[in-house]
Amino acid sequence: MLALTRKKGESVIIGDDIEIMVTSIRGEQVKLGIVAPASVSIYRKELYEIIKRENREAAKFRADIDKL
Amino acid sequence: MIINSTRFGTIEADDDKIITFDEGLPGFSSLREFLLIEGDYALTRREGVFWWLQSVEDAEVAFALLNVPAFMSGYNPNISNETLNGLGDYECAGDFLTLNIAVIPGDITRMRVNLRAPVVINSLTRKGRQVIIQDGRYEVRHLVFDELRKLRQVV
Repeated sequence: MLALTRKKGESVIIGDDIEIMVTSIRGEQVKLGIVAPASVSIYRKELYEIIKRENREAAKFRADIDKL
Repeated sequence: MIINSTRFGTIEADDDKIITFDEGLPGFSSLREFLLIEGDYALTRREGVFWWLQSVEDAEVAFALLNVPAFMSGYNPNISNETLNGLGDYECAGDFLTLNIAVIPGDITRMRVNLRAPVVINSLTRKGRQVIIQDGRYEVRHLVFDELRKLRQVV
């Protein structure tokens, strides 16, 4: 993993069109501002992982749905 | 197109029933093409409630989906215009089909649906995407068995 040190107000650029800026730092919390094309999905990782897990569960349905 | 499915056997499908997910689905990012099938509505005795997405590329992967507003009138996830535009040209909101992936465990009374991440499909371009919405009111694991049962009784 690439690790870069940034101060408040400073950014990193990923590729041509994604910018991530440190907009505030308070204790343990860092607020990030992200500029990216609309086609790029941006999610908090925890939520994305939950959705991934739920999709994997969904793909292996077992029940006899005729019981509904 | 011939599609092999663990659940449905061999299916012969028209190409215009194939939905393309350019990014795949979370957890299945390498699978891009799915056949959309309307489910057997003996389940709910109502059309358009129950659907399947069968992977074209992996016979073992199929999802059950529900048309949630059919039984939960208040469900109205906010899908951004950027997301809709990303699925190609459309004329009106009615060109989109929004369905939610269900988990059907061994104990069917524990059946649940993911309200937080609807699957949005542009029916004109047949492009789809699973969108994670910001609205925290909508649960990832919403129990749905009783609501579906009620739907069946009303008819």
